[in-house]
Amino acid sequence: MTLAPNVKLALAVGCRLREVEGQPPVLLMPEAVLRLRGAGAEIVRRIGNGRTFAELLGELHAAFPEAGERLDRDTEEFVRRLHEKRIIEITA
Amino acid sequence: MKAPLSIICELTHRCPLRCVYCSNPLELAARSLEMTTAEWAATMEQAAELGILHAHFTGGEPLARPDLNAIVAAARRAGLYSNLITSGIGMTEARLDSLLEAGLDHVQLSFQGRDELQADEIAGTRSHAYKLKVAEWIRSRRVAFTVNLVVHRRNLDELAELIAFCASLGPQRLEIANVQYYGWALENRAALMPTRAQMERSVEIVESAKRALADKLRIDFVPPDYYGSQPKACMGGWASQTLIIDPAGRALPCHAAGVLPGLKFDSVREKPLRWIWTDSPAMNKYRGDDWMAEPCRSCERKTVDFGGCRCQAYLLTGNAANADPVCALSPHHELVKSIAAAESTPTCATTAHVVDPTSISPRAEAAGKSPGWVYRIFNSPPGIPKADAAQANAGRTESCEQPATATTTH
Repeated sequence: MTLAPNVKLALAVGCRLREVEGQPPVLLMPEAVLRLRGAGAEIVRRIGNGRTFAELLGELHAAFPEAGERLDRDTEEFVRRLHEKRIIEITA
Repeated sequence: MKAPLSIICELTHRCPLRCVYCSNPLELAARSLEMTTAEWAATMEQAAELGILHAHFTGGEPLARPDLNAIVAAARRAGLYSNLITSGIGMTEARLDSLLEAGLDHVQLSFQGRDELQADEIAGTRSHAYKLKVAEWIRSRRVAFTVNLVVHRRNLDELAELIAFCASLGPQRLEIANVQYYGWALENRAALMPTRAQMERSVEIVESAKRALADKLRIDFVPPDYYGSQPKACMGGWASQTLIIDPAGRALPCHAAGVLPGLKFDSVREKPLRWIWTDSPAMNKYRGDDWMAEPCRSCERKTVDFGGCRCQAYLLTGNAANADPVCALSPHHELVKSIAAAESTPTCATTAHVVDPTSISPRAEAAGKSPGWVYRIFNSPPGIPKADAAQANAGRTESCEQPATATTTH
């Protein structure tokens, strides 16, 4: 099932992105950390501030024009996985 | 040397509760020796520099520190994710808001039961009613909220109801922990040890609750120790994932390590945290596998469970380098099995009876329900071992084969 373009995405309560110069970004949450690389880091950086899924994809395509069609599928899969882990909230 | 993931900051051993399952050491650090705000702030900086990501603030009761805000703020400035592990006693709405303002990321609130009388008996203090208020304040703020529930023979029969109660408080997570037998919990083991039937049933109940509440609540369950045949990978390995700083600044690999003989634990007041973690003799004592005795040394699981818990091996077998006797391959395994069997009968009680005139336990005692808990005595001078304190208060001891109603006069 495809994520509707106008669903809003946000980091779940207690989840915080930590970025330190010279180090890979880390997602901090209760009793766990998620070390982010590459595309995952780019996605999480853009989650929040009431951004919709469509807006997220738009920004990613603009930043990575060479990524092509795979970007939509891969982004949705990543967002869904983090939603299952209760790291990302999805609201209509 | 890989950095630990987290640092556990025991800000104080002072606590308004005296939970009978508390794994704090029996000899508590004196208030006069507690690290200052500046010393904790410096430790937060060093922790972040070492590569630590999580700071857990605990105790005793961390709210007993009036400078808690400043310490949380120091953790946030250092880039650490902060977690408050609290009974809720000492919290107000204003204080909660100021802690969140200071950057607190996560609150873990303990509950000792769902019924006020039973919960207060376990906590050794009237506290349950206030905790309910604190839960509502936390739930209504945008902060990660976990409820901590410790389970044991006295409450496992109502585990399903307890889970429902905890869920009703509105947390995102529920940590259900079986008692680990160190400190006060060890003193009260005979009154806390679950029966095998309770243990097996609890696993089913938790699995069922996880499924039923899957989209509302994440449940983490720490199973009981003495019924296993493979030991726990205690702390994720000695000085591997975590370190603890006690109220006086001593760095320890776990809460219980103070019982181990022949180890000197260095203080962050005297040595840099990085040196302590990487090079200190105490932190290196049980790393790797050179120290292992058989059967651990040749065991294929040694990199999985690290031979279990050093403190438990010492407490139960007299040698910290032995296999944790929870392991079925340990020559001492029968000891653990016999303790679990002997100390989990419904009428089993502790072997010492401690009386404190301010305790609520005489009320429960009169109702014929209390097994005779060993409670920490409020305001006892620091450094007095529990045994001396108990003798100051107790009558004759009784063995656990006798019914609780036959316990001594006092």
